[in-house]
Parts: sequence; C-alpha cells; structure tokens
Amino acid sequence: MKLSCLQENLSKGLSIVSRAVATRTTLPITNNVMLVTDESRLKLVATNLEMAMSHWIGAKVEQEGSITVPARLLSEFVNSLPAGEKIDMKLVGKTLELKCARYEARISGVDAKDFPPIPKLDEGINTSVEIAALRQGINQVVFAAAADESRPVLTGVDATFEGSLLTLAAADGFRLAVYKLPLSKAVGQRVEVIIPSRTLNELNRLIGEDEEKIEFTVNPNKSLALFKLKKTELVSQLVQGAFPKYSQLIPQSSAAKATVSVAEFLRACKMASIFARDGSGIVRLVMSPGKITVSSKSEELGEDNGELDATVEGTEAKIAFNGKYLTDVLSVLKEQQVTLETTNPSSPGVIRPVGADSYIHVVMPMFVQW
Amino acid sequence: MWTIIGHKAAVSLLERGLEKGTISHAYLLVGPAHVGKMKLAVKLAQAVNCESPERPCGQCAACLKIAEGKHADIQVIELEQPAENESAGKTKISVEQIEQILHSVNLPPFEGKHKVFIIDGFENLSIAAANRLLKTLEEPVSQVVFILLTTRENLVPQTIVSRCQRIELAPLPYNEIEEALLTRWHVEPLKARLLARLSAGCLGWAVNMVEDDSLLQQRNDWLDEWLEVLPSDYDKRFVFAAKLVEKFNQNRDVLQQKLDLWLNWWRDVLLVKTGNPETITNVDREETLTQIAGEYNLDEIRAFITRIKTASRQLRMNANPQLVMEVLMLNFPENGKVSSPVR
Repeated sequence: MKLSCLQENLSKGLSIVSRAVATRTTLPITNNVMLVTDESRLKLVATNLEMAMSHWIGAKVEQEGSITVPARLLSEFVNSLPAGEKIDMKLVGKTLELKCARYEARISGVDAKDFPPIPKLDEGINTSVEIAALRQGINQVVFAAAADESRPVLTGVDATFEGSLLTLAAADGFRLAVYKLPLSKAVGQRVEVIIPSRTLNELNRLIGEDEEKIEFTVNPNKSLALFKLKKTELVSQLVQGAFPKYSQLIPQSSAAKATVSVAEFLRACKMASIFARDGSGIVRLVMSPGKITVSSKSEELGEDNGELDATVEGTEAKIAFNGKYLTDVLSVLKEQQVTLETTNPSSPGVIRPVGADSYIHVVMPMFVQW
Repeated sequence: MWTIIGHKAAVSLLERGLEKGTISHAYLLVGPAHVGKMKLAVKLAQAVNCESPERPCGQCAACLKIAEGKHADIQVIELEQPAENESAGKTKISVEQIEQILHSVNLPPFEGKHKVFIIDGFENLSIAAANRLLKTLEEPVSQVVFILLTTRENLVPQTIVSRCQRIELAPLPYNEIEEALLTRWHVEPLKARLLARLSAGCLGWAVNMVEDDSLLQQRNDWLDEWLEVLPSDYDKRFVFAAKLVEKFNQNRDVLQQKLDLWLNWWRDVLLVKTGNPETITNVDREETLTQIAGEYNLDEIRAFITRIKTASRQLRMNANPQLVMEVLMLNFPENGKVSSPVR
C-alpha cells in the first residue's frame, strides 16, 4: 500500500469514523481503524460490532493495500500534523509509515484480514429521506427512548416505512414520542424495524452541511440497516423484537385543551423542577380559563408557583407530571406554541406543537394528593 | 470433530442437541479447574457457528477465528485483570461487565450464526450482576447461547442454575490422561505417569505442566520444603510457618495449593501404610513415602490428615493465617515423642 492524501481530509475522516471505534471491547482489533485503498480513494473503516462506519477520502493511490492501526494513535498523530500538508503513507510489512512535511511516524498495525467483516447490504428495502426532516425527527424522538436495558426493544427507535411515510417512535414506559416524515422514494411494502438510539445519535452527528438526502436500506431479514451519505456509510445492527403497538396509547379525545407559548411553558416547568427535585420531580399543572398554573413543592425546602397565559378549551383540569419529561419535550420543539390535552388526572397528557401535525408526545401523569 | 479427550457424556449430549437443533440457550458447565470447561465451551461456540456440515469442523474460517479468539460474536467474560496502578485485582465480575453484554444480546450476530457469551468463573459474579442476567436467561433470545463456567457450583445462585442446562464435567480417569499425554503430547512414559496422577483428573493442568517445566520444578521444591520441616524442631517449623503466610494477602491460592500438596502426600503415606502402594499419586517418590510410612503409626497419619484439612478449611473461612499455620506446625506427627512444645 502506497498513497498520499491531504492532512485535513484524513483528519476529518478519522474524526468521523472514530465515533464507531469500540471503547471497551473483548476484541482488541476493534480499537483499530482499517485503511483500505478503493480505486482512487482511501476508505477508513471502524466498527464496535454494533455499527460500522466507512468514510472515503480522496487520495493518490500508487499501490493498493490494506492495514488496520490503532485508531486513537493515528488520529492523535494526524491531528497534530500541520494543516494543508500532504501526507505520504506507505505500508512496509505490517508497519504503516507516514510522512508529512518534516515529520515521520511508523505505526505497527494488524493485518486487515483479522478485522471483523463489514456487512454488505446489496438488496432489501431501499428508500431515501430529506436531511432536515430526519434531523428534526431524531432530535424530537430519540431522547424518549429507554436508557436501561430491562426492556431491550425500548432502547431503540421504532421506524415504520409505509408508502411514502416514515414514522419514528420511541418510548420508555412513561412517555412516547412519535414523529412522521415523508420519504423521498415510496416503499413497496410496509417495513417496521427498531434502530438503536445510539445509531441515530451518531447519524445525526454525521450529517454534514452539504448533504441533502440520506439513503436508507434495510436487509431482507431485518437485522441490518445501511445509511448512505455522500462520502460516508453507516451500517448498523437492528434491535430484534417487536415494538409495542403504540398507536392505541395515544388518547383520541380530551376533556381540556390548553394552548401556550413553548418558551413560557418551558421556563415555568424548569423553575418548578428546581423545587420538585426533592419530591420525585412532581410538577402540578392546573388549567383554568385563560391560564395555566405550574407549581411544585417540597415539604422541607418550600414551593413555587407560576402562571402562564393560555387559551384553555373545555373543563378545568388538574394534572401532575414528572417535570423532567415536560422540559425534555419542550426543549426540542421548534414551534412557537404548543397544545396540552388532558382528560383526567390519571390519564396521559398529549403534547402537540401548534401548526405541525407531524409530532405527538404522550406523557404519563403522576398520581398526587391535591 | 470435537477432539475433546474424555467427557463423552457431555459431548454426546451436545452432539445430539446440534443434530436435532435443540441447543439450549444457556449451559452451566460445572467441574474442577483445568478439567476442560473452557475447551468444551469454545468447541460448542465453534459448533454453533461452523459452516461445514460436520460441526464443529475446526477447519472453516469461523472455527479458526473462534480458536484464535478473533471472532466478533464470541465474547469471553472473566474477572478483569487489575490495572497497573492497582495492587489487588478485582474479586468480583461487576454489574458493568454484565450490562455491556446485555446490550449486545439483543442485537443480531455480527458475522456468524450465533452470539456466544462465555462467562468464566461464574462463582465470581456479584449477586447484583447475577441478578441482572436472570431476565435474559429466562426469556432466551434466538441466536444467543450463554455458556457459564464454574468450579464451585454451590456459589452460583439457584435462580441461575435453574435457568440453565447443567453439564457436569467430572475429572478424567488417570489412565485416560496418561494415554493422552503419551499419544498427543509425546511425554516420556515416567513423566506422563506422574503427571496423570498429580493432575487429579484435570487434563488442562497436566498439559500446563508439560508446557511449562518450571511448574513441575515448583511442585518438587514445595514438597522438599515440607519434607525438610517434617523432622525438624519447633523453631524451624515456626520460621517456616511465618514464611508460608508472608505473601498470603497478595495471593491466597498459593498457600492453599501448598496445603493441598501436603495433604496429597499424606494420603499417599496412608495408602502405603495400609498396603495399597499401587494407587498413590506421588509415584516419583515412592521410596520416601515408604520410609515415612514406616516411621509413623496409622493413628498419627490419620490424625494429621484431619489436621491439614482443618487448616485448609480455616484459611478459607478467613481465620488468621499465621495462627492456623502455627497450629498445624504444632500438630505435626511426633513419631512417638512428646507432642507438646511446653515441657
């Protein structure tokens, strides 16, 4: 292997794929990044056995070849090299020799054939989505996924492809977030898969400014998904299992409906959460004509009370939530106003941004003595 | 080709499971150290991932990768080695180690057909860590096989045992080990005979001895130490006791092993005394054994064996090691002489 490439390209490429480098692993080679020549490009590959990232950078290839070297070592070295310089790489035996300006390094590598094989997805359901919509979807849904592993399917985000619609949903047993976005290319059959939250977070980070669309492929036995960007590919394993049927959890009607400003509501909830910290995060909402009262109290510390202007339709209502669940959802909304619908203190509250019917958030209430 | 020596029942059980497609989601392999638990676990991992019809073939890419420990779907979980700045190693397999595998349990295999998690030394799991596994073991995920290895089954929670298929690996008869050492490892006959008997039925131990000569040398040194102390006076014995417990806190196993060696020696003495010299373990020292057997009477030998066992048990129960060893030194068989140091 013999090639040359630019420092900034290599440095950027390494910073992208190193997100997929394993941190704690039983397979030491997954701490490495694989360098492979691919026609007139250099392919960088990293995997943690849950997802694999490949990134291509332009290079002048004189001799084909491949090697894996410790990812951290290589990226730290490359990052420290002067920007804008050309890097010459040469493989001698299993040692990768790098030359840049007046700096030289030799890094001992491991044969690329020992690297876990990166799964290939040639067939399966294929579609693509607009970047902006996907980004918003990821931002508004992923945080609702469960963090602990006690119910594995809930640690991922349920993605349903049907016709030209993609529905992303995440739930952790106390809340549910559902986001619908259009597909640029309709799918022939309905497909439902569970994508690990971490994959979507990484994908969100990957999407650069110059990207417009992301191509998406699911293999026929629904164990793998491929996300394809201009210069980067992300292959992720999919969580196996059935996601709960969540559509029946979304209340169809409501007794009271309040419309408030997102910013104001968020401020009031954040304030109430300060006092609620001691008492299991309980934030009480009282909806009465023209206003919502947001309050919380702690037996030992004190209490707080906030009032917001609101358009309230229907009866007066009282309901209590965990403050964290309210602030989580209110902080990801882009719209100015939001509606909160409730039926009674023991049925779930529904939050929808005003002017966008693509997003629904359902939060379970907390039972309190009023 | 399982190429496992002995353990016929276990192997045929697994073979039938493979043929009928009834491989269990979790196995508990129980047996003494070095008896072949890990060997069998790795073979099983190969078998469920093997690409050829006769599983495990040991030849295909998957089998080779597993044998080299490079397969992405085989994970071995064991006690974490102490980091460089830590003096003592961890004594438990932690919840964090288990949580990491729980996450990967629910993802499909990366390159093979099955994910295999081998947990070595399951008795080292903290209770919390074992409990985290319960739900996963209760509701098996397809394409996942757990293989739990333990030397001390009584320390494995019942809730875990009841969720696994239990396979016991008994020590091998020593003639099987002797034959294996002769034919496969080409050990000279005398050494093979000695190692087979010293190994207590654990082939892995004997093979370690073959590969590392210093281990056999160590056994000889340890035995010489004991034999040297046996006829000496109390002063020397107490110096020896102090030496024995010196590094006890860093590594408890060494003293236990030394006691086991001594216990084994006295078992042989008893056998020689009662006229069964053909069943002794320390075949290389039969002369010394006969001589010692002649010096002590049967009661003394029996009493001393009990005392060694008591000392060993007390150490396991965290008694003060120095006191335990000193008491043992006081209780050495006295060959008809006055048995108390206080006159």
